[in-house]
Amino acid sequence: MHLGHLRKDVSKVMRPEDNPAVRECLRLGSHEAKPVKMIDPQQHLGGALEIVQALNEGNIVCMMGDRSYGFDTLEVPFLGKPAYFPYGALAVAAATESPVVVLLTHKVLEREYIADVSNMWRPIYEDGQKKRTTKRLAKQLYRALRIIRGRTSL
Amino acid sequence: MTASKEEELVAIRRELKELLVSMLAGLEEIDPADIKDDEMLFEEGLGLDSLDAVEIVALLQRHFGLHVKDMKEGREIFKSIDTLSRYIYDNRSKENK
Repeated sequence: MHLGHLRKDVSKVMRPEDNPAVRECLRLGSHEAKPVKMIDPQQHLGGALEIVQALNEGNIVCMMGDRSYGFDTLEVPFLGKPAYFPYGALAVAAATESPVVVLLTHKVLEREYIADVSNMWRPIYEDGQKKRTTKRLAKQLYRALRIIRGRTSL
Repeated sequence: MTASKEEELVAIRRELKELLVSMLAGLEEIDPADIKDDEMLFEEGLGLDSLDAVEIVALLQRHFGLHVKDMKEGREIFKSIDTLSRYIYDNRSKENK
């Protein structure tokens, strides 16, 4: 809802049936400014045309960093064990030369959350090193998550 | 079809194959010449996925100055190297005017 203050259209890459609670939350925000537009990753080409068009127009595309939707993941050391994280947002940003703002939230009280948006990157592929670059970016992302965890004593 | 159009299409197909192999992580081991003109790009063909699709849409913009916006049109355009090449041939000159 607060993204409305940025005066940009907001799209969210998300399967429509995945989370009714989130869907309801987004619907509730629709009376304020412009409603959040859903881009279904299950449609043809995974919504690539809509995603690129939205970014070209300078708008915001949100992608969840913890759901792979069946797409590839990268193995990243996380809290002492290998974990498998999606890297779609980083790959889309690198392909379209868009910045990534990492939004990390955690619940501190029943109705209180802390949101951290202090990490912003412009992923750029190094020539011929696509896999390595993507993995480096993913590690950077999940390192940020560990730092947040440390700050908030989770 | 005139010979010059066919020659231009051949050149576009070759350029596209080289660009895709250099750009897409999943095609690193493939020789561009081994990609068939009519091979499906997604699913059972070359097996590209939606992240590759984003890269191809961005490539069309950066390299050829083309913006595909119509979702229905996209379904046809992104079928194979051949359909992509024909789209580039038919639209490159229009957008550059």
